[in-house]
Amino acid sequence: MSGNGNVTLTIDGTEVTVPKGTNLIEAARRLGTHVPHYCYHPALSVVGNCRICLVEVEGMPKLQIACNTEARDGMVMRTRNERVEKGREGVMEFLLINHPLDCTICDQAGECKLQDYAFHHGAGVSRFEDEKVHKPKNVSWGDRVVFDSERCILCTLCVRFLDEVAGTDEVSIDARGDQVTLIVKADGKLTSPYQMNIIDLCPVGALTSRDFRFKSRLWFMQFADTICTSCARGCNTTVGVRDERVLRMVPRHNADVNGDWMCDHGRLHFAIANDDERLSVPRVDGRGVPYAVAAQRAADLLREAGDSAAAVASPFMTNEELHVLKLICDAAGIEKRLFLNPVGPGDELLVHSEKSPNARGAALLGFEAVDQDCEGVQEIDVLLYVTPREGIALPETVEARAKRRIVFAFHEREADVLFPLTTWIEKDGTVVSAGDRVQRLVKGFSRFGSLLTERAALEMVLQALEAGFEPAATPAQAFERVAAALAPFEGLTFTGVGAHGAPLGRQEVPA
Amino acid sequence: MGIKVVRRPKLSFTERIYLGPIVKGLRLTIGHFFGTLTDVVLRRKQHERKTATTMQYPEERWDFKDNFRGAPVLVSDQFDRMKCVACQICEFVCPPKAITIWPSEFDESADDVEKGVEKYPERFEIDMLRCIYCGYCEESCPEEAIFLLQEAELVGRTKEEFVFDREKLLAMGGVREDRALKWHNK
Repeated sequence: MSGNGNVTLTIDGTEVTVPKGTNLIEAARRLGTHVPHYCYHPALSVVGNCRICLVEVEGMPKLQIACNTEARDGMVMRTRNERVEKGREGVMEFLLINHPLDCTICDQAGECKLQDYAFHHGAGVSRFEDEKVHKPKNVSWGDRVVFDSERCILCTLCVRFLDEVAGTDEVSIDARGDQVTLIVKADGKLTSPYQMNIIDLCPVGALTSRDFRFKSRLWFMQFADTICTSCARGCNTTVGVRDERVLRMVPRHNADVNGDWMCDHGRLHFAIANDDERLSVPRVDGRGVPYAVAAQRAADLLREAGDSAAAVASPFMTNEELHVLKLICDAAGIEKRLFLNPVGPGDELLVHSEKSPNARGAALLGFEAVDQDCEGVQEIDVLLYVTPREGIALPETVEARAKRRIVFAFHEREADVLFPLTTWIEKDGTVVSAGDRVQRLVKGFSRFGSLLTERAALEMVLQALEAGFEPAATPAQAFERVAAALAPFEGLTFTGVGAHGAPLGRQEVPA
Repeated sequence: MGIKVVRRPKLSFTERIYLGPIVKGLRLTIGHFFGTLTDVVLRRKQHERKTATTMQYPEERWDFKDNFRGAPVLVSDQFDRMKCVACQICEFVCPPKAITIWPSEFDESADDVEKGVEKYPERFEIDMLRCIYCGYCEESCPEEAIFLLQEAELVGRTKEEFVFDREKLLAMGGVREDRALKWHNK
């Protein structure tokens, strides 16, 4: 017996102690045992309608569903034996009876639980000889979600997500018997700004993404576990990449940041990474030049200007890039250190009102948040300006207050020295997200082969200003330099930040 | 080592006049002449010939065994519908990465069967210079849409000519009956 609200049970011959109220799927997970399930999700209510999570519990005459059975003291449960296998095989046979076998054209193929479980628990052949039931296919649920009723196994994960998490309660089950299907209640179109999460939730290919539709099979993509940079939340994501193109972004579990969800805006906000018109080489007075030449020219301009220069940073830059920019300001004697801080409406679930990933990092590194009027920048000689994302920029009138301009931008524009800007998926680094949490960006690919990140480009400028400076050899080394320079970063390491981030100033945060 | 003296053999009279071997040789030559003449006049195929001669390429070609693996091509079903649904399994399984597919979705103008299929290859290219004729594409195709022909003679002047596009592959492949008609019952 175990006290403190814990219970001890035996799973496949191994004892495990779990908090009271834990269900058998989660109890088995603690031992690394996977109990198959379609309709169960830890963040949603339990309905127990898919029946695949059958396990054997001693003392109970029939097989039990693990998702809706609470762990009890002294319980003896078996997740794999002949009886359990037979039960699961039966459930699989029923689920597959009317399944259309669309795998050849189904975007879910490769990450489909029906495929996975059919492989592990399926009979391999169908005994069903009659005509399958036909239901509506390729039904549009608005601009973002496509529904296929034949593939649906009616697990109701989408119904529960929209009701319990998104709060819009838009989908419900309609009709009965073999004609049962899902419908969108209102006018057939989903409206929730979180609707695309039901695509990830769907264990089969019933819900697919309009945006990602037929773009790539899963097995062609490479994946980078990075974060979303649309707002300060920094939802953990996995970005699917093929041939130097971002094809999709899906949320990655992080209990401390975004749970299992992300907003549609962030998910679909990657067009700039695939833009072919982007700047691919640095330019000096409009002519393409090597990085070293552009860096030398930028350094010369900054050295001449000295105090009559201003630096306008971007909150889309990583801490490492901002740190190098700060060192440049120190070396050139630039006092005006600003950054544009885009803000907008947020919501209560995930969307943050700060529309950039790293305003906190910029503030920590001594840059001052300003609005677009930018009154701090009056008549100056040189403006060093890292443009933020599309949608926010310094007005031309503000830029015109500077005689010469050194600009980092995505696209061709007027500037004395122009460096290509890179997107979040093209660099390694860290940002400080909402809740003062340090999170890592992970590089998925680099575009145009020769494109350098802002950190590398700024390091070349700094090297031209200060002969003794050595660029960081690795992203980890660049992070070490930031951590050494900033007190709140004390105790953090690049590997320690890892895939799930770490809170700043850990020692001060109460446990 | 001592020296061994080899004496020339003494030839007999018949051997010295040399006539026998000459007659023997001429008989073979004349035999070949008339044999070939008969083969050509009777238009015999390579394997029916009585005499061994060079194959008269390109008028004559080798007969391949049934399991010969030649150029992979796309086929249509008996309703002239392209069987390929752009599942890209062949692209994935292709060891030399000779196959490239650009999938797309049927639009509103598509017929009912096509709307059921939903997906098709907008572009489908096989680089025949990369292809190693392994037959994995045919083996893995879930729609029986790609087959290897008994075709080993692909001719071109540039590398680009060997990249066969969808139309060329379909024209080469012709029609193969679809027995399941899976998409017709959608």
